[in-house]
Amino acid sequence: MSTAISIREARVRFGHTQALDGVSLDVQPRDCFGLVGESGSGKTTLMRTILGLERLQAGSIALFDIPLGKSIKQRARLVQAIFQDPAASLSPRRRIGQLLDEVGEVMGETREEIRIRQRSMFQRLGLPLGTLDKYPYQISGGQARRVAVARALLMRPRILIADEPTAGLDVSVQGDLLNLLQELRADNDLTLVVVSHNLAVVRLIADAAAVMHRGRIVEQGPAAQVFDAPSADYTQRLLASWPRLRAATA
Amino acid sequence: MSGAVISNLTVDFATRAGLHHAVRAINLAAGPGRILGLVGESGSGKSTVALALMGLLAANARVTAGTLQLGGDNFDLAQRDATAELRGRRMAMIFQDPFASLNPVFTIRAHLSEVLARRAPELAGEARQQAAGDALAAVGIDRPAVRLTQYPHELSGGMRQRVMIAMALACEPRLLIADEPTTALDVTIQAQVMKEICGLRDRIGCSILIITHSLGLVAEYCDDIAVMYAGELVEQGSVHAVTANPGHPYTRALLACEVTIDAARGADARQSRFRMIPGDLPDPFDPPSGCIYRTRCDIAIADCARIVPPPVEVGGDAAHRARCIRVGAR
Repeated sequence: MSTAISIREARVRFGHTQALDGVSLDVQPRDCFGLVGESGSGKTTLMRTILGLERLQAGSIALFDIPLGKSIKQRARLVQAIFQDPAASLSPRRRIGQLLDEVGEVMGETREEIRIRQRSMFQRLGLPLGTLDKYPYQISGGQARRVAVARALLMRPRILIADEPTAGLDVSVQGDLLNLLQELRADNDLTLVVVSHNLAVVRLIADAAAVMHRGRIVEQGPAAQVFDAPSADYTQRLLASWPRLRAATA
Repeated sequence: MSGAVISNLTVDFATRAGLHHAVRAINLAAGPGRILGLVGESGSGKSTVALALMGLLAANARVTAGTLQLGGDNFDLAQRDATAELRGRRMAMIFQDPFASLNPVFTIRAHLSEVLARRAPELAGEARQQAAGDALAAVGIDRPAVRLTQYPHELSGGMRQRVMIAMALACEPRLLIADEPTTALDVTIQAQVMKEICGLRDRIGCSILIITHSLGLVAEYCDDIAVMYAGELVEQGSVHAVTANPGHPYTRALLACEVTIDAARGADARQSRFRMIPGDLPDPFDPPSGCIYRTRCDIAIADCARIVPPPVEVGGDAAHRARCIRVGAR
């Protein structure tokens, strides 16, 4: 089977900042790939580049062996994303249902077709159907994330990228979203990329991972190796800084 | 024990939907030279506690009861501007967002000079400059002389938060309140900033109240812990006692939800599952009778709906108390 995401020597520059400085990585289909790093490391830029939202200065990106050129439409069918702070990325002036109707327009479906799919998707994700009639400010942070997942999956992508899926969620509800991502991975032929600064979560959810620092990948490999036997100094430093619940885990 | 003692703090918010009792009869004690971590999730009221102490609550909020005891003096928090004379002197606060808490049109020198002028008016000119530079050096900022001439936008987030700590340090407070001091920072910077806060405690022996949603941060850096849920305090004690033997089902569930960096990891990441607490926070305008947590509790019994649980000693440790009638019942 072909590689889901193949990136070779990607470079992106913003003014004086080399945001991506020769990044190469492969994501295998149906894997969960974790991309970790601190702010400014380039992980969000890399994600935006995969989505076609940033232009490569040099290098190449292919999704399932299809080199990505200019066609946004083609890319949208392959890869979708859940952005950070999904409540803010939903238009406050439109009801959730109206926002999701747009997916039907993009997919060339009739209103009836997309409405049927909306309802079955909501049932599957455990969202009350009444949510469709609500405005984004009327739903909780956890629900807003589920709506973002619903919107992305209605596009029937082969790759789903989640940018900081648990940021801003309380620890008592973040597990719910993470379990949902795990279930989606089991049911679908879906490749998942989780972009996060939360090393502890990525360590458990990812099959493979890459650690970014200053626009470069400093370490990549199977998650067990990256997190439990890191070879790069920077990875070791990151892991050592992570607070531990010593007494509770002792 | 001196230090800071907060008694019976109660805060109401007047909203369009009615009166919201955001904080209900909280008792907290932060000993001198100790760091108390106040943990709770969104909506638990933990930040309201900090703002009530500082007198910085929104206009629709009212402290209906509560006292602060600090270094032998009593302050009635229900009075307007009860703690005004303490602010910037015996009490200082570090806010969550280092990008918003410094004034963009003033240099770092101006920020520190203002604090120093209030704290030590006898210092002037050269001496004040020197003190400002020393305050920056004390929190590990390199080239303090250069930094003093810079504006906030020229500094990184971690550096700005350290400037905030330097300002707090320059106050030499008896009580330092830090509201999510490292939430906006990367984990490597978080570790440095927390070390500076611990250093401040060790240098001047003040009481520190850290407000956070991160149990990991509390376990790593705090001496004592207090857990809030939906406006009420449900458990408090030493960090060691509470994390090793949580008495309240909410604390136990929170600890179980925390994803630790050394959690057991199976060979197949697909099989990993994460813990959560089912259910939602209670409706603030219609809280449940009896125990505030009973609607989400996995060990609730009929009595939990009748009895408002008093603090109960846990594990024979007088300082460790949980507000649950089923302590020890698991």
